[in-house]
Amino acid sequence: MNRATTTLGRRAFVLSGSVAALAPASPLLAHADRAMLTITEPSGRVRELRDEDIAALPWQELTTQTRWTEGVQTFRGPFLKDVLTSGGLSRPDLAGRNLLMRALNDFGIVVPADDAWNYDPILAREMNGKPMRVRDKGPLWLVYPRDQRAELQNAVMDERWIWQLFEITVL
Amino acid sequence: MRLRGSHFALLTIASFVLLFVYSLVQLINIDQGFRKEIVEGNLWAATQADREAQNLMLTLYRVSLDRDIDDVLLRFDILYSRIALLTDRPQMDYFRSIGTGEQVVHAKALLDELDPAFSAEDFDSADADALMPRVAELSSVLREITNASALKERIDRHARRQTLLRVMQLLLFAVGGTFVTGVIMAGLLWRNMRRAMRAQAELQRHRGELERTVVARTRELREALEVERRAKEVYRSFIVTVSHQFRTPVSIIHMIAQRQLRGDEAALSETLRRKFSRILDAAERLERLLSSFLASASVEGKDITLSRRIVDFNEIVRIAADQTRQANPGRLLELGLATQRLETDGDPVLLEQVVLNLLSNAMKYSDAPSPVRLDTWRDGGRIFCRVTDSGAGIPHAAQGAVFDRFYRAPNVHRLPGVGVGLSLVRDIVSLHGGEVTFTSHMGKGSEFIVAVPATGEHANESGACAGDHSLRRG
Repeated sequence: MNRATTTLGRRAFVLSGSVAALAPASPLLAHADRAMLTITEPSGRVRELRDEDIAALPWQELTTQTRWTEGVQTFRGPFLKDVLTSGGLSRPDLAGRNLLMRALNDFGIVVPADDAWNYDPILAREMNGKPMRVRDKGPLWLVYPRDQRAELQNAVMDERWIWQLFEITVL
Repeated sequence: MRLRGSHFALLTIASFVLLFVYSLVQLINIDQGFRKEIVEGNLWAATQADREAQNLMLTLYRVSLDRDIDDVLLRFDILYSRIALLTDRPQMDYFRSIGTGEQVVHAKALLDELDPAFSAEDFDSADADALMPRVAELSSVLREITNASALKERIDRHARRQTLLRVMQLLLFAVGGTFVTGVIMAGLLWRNMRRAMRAQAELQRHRGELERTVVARTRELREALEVERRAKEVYRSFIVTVSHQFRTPVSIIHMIAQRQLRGDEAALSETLRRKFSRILDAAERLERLLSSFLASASVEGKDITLSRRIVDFNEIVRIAADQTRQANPGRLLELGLATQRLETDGDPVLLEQVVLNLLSNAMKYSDAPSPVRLDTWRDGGRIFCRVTDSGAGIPHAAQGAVFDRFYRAPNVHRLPGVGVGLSLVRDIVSLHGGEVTFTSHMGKGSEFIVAVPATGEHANESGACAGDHSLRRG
């Protein structure tokens, strides 16, 4: 009996939580067809990068294993640092700052901006030669050179691999 | 017992150490288990999939009210990505291992069924209502997966906690046991050290006591020796005094008897002559006795001073032989003297006393007509003088004691003597750095040999002996 009420309570909680989570997401979702990535800079300036803006940056290729997939994957996309500085920001502007990254599925994580230079992660747009759709963890997945750098092979760093990324706020 | 005790202690410590190592290995295993742990990741993935299904339902429900149709498609895509994540290898393996593999496959199948409907070009709000029950079904399947994962996760966590607790207890037990054993051993060690120290102190005390005892005993001995020496001194002075006191009267008696005997033969009757003769004999014996006592006392008192000089031992022997012949006119004394001079560094008076004593003994303890023989020779650095008689001999039992002062062999008690002669001989020869030896056979006679160091230019010659080797060997 007790168990039943608990379960019921939990379900009600999840439902209300979903509603709450959904509410702020709606205006952004409205723009989903136009902007692939929104960057809010420290000055308050908001930059919207479309698919073609991402494609215009120099792309890198990164081959590594991930914690969520089987075997070695090949990713392609621009360096995170190139994406961040494409709007006029420089490295000194970002040094010591944090990046709040948010995903379409309401997941969010804070990543040190210095990671972009220390580890050279890429914002992967393609996996194994195919553009990633939302259903394939796309459109953008923050990918670290995990196999190449031993210090990246731990749970804390794995947490930073945010997928379905659509918004970066420089804190 | 002690050995068994130390073995036991070693065994105890070893077992605790083993336990400790075992616990550590277990801990490391648990740690590695944590590192590999993806249960929570899987639970999260399942929960997220469930949540996205709910979100999709919510969006479907609200699409007629205020939502864009694109919202629905986006939500579907996200749900799709979530379920696709569950079907990827690492996650799928896990769900199979907890027995929810079929549900995941089912969810994927439902998703694939829904996919064409959502992807249709003419998807609108009317379709949304129709899809609702099937999304709800998908949601309930995901809910089953989530529940199973959560349950598994709780059980795993519980098991892990139990294991950790057990290992921690083992570890604590091992450490505690080792500590307690260490404390006990330290205690034992301390006790043993205390015992050793006590034993050491006891030993020290004993040693001190022993030293004190030794000192006391030594003092007592020295005192006893002193008493003895003083007694001897008193005894010696007594003897010397008495002997001196007797000497004069005895000399007077001797002189009178002699004078009477030498006087007019007619004036004395045969009876008187015999009596005077006996008086003279007795007086002579008494004089000799007194001389022996005095000589013995002097030697023992160490107050004889050797007046040494180089002397010819043959000369001394000749003088002594003459005296002996005069004293024993009826006896035969054969001499076998070395042809060369037998020089030695000695006191002629005392050495003469030695020869006189040996000859007098030989005469005394053998009967006429058996002769007494005296030989001298030199062998290497030593001068030898041998006196041989054919008398009664010294009993075997008495041979060890003939040089002792006042000792007299049991077979000669009937003969006059006091038992100082040989003792004096030995003392004088010792003072000269020589020695006296003898061989004796009962009924056949005795043979005494005196050996003293030779001096002079021929001192180192060996074999420069007297010509009469045969006699010497006899």
